[in-house]
Amino acid sequence: MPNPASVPGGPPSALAGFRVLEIANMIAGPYCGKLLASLGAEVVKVETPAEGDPSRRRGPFPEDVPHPERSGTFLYLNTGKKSLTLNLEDPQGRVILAALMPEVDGLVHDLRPAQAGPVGLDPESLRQTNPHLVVTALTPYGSTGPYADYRGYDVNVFHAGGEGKLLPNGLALEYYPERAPLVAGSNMASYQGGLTAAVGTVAALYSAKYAAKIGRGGQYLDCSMQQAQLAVGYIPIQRLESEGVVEDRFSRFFRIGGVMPAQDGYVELLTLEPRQWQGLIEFLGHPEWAREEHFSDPATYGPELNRRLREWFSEHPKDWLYRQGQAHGVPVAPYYTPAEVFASSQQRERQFFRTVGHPEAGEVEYPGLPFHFSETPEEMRRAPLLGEHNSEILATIGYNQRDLVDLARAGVI
Amino acid sequence: MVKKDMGLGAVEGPLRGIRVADFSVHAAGPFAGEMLAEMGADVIKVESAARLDITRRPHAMYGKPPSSFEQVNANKRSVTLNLKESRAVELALHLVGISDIVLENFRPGVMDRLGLGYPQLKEVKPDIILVSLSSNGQTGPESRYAGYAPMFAALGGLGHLTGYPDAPPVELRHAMDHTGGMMAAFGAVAALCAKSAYNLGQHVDVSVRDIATSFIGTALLDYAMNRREHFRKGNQDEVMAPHGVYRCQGEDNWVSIAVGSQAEWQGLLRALGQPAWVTEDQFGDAYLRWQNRDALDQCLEEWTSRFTPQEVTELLQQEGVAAFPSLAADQLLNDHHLQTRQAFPWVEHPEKGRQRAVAPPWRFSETPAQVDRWTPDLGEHNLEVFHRLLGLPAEEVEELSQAQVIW
Repeated sequence: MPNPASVPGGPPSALAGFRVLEIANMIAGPYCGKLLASLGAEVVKVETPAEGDPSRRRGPFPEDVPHPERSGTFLYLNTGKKSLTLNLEDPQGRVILAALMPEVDGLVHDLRPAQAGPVGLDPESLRQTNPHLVVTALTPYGSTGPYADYRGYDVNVFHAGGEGKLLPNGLALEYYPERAPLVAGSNMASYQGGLTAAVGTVAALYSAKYAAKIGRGGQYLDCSMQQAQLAVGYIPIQRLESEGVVEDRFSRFFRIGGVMPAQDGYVELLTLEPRQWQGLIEFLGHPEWAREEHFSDPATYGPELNRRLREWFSEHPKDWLYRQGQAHGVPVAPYYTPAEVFASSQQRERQFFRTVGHPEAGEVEYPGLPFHFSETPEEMRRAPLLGEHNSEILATIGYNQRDLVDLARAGVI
Repeated sequence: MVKKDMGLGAVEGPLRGIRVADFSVHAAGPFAGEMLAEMGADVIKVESAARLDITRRPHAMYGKPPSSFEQVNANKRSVTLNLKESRAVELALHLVGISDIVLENFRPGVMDRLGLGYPQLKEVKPDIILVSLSSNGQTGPESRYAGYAPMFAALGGLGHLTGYPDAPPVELRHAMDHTGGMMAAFGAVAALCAKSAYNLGQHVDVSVRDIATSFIGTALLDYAMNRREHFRKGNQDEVMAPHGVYRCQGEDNWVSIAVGSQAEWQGLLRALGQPAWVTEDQFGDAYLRWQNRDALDQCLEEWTSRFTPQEVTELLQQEGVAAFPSLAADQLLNDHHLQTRQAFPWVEHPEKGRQRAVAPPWRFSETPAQVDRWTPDLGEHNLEVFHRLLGLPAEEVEELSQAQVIW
């Protein structure tokens, strides 16, 4: 049984005792590692010497001054990890990596097969180095099949999974029906891919460690970001299979509600249940144009109702619509800007934002974690400096301070 | 007497042997249960004829049949319990007593009111894991507000950042619901590790709005560091150019292209045959390309519109450039790569015959996850669960059904 305390005297962590290597850049793979680290797994991020994860150069930077230790993208996506610099192009770097493999329970990487093989991270080599290892390969289109080595950024995998072709819909589409379909904001597909990989990784780690008595050990997880998109967006596939209907952004909209203009922005309105329409009618003050029978027949009354609703909504501020609407049991919510999210009373009350200190970036308020564990609390510790844990980690496989100097000089670490 | 029962055809997934009492409704919560079920857990959906899950009724938007929800309860068993009856609550607690995880996504407070709050669950099963998924979380001033998928994204800030810069924000729908379910599945599996390590159950509170917020972490860090507001920017990127979705030959055909490095830019130029419009002073380096991205997009689209999305993809990928068609459902189902990866397994449907499902998003080499049954009928497994699993005499199951307790 592992030590139940991740911090002496403190509460235990759900994933304490698991050691995971992360060889991944930018958002998707690092988000997976961040989730694992937030629950107490020891996540060692392997970065290229000198440059590190390219997200260190992406920003945003305090006062817009680029600095590899102050990039918001890096700082946010790598909380709670350790950093080891290692040049995998160098044979000695690969020797060190192979020596680390038996010391860890999991490896999360984002290398396509053509990239993984040459650095010894193909499934076969990994199985030989550590048969108990859980390996998660998170790649744009998966590690097998004709597109296994195709490249993909967030915009590509989002559209590859079918969701892109469905956006925009409703009001934005009415404005610009001729424009290109859209990617979701803020690299959503990458976060979603990282989250999906985290679920599979923890399930495999669980199975390897705790279901071991029924003969399960390490394994290889092929996780496709395209299929992660498909998994959460499968409803159009079901509609096509069952009803022969191909949904597209022109047919997929809410006949009543959807995005509504407000005086100072936009709100979302959705009334799917009769008691919600009733609440809305009351909220509107029972105008002649909004009657129950209209709401129950969206095909006939939808367009006219929505025209009226938009008019009415646009005369009120979004936060008023939110509070008053919800008080009437109407599902309505404002489209908050980042600054408004930052100030949101609900999230403030729940202490969602966390102040994290960092030797280079100073104290910054970070968005926290979207879950709370009552007995094994999640935690948010700062991101590592580039190579900050080189000596600590390499000591575990027998390298001393002298070796480290030599390795650094040779550009291996 | 509690009898041995591993669950109907439980797949060989990593969670085989784990039992989940799934009280969740609609899409987000059930999707969490579906992910656990596809990984081999025995997930028992507890529902009721007294208040049908929205997926079993004509849908306000889709009408009937609500086929779009056929997979969200895949691999699960269904039992009916009318939780307004105290005897039904007793049976629910009995079920919790033989489960590892309880999943719910009612509005905060409803489980307590039903007599199924965390303290009551802990009484019958001290190491029970309760995973609660909600719009705003279990606590705080807005915890009891109503919410659906697009509202989570709106409140969390992701909605504001999705859309054309000169148009309203755009709704994120099932993808947001299901992402909530995916996060709840993460919480459930992580809590299982804690349970195995320390014999410790717990209450895991997952807020979907917070998920949307955690996905815009970098925009919020910019706000925290520089007080800068971010806005939606269509298909453009903050750094990369070209980066977007470009018109191709044919009707409503589009390809996504993103160029992140100088090497990829060189690859793009090779594929385009070193066009004359590429001038050093306009597009010579990454910064210039980003500065002049609108002009660049126009030139590029002139080229892409001469080909199909598939042709552009092949031409560009050959040169190491990230490009991919924007696919609709019919194209996904017919995609050669996805077929090779068995992304759409055939699953027998009791009424509709064989239908393609969407495969789980992971391929485990040793403990395969899979879809092997569609959403069960309402109460399909009442006898199996209450009689064979919980040891109730068959006659009593029948009586309780008559009395609308098992209902």
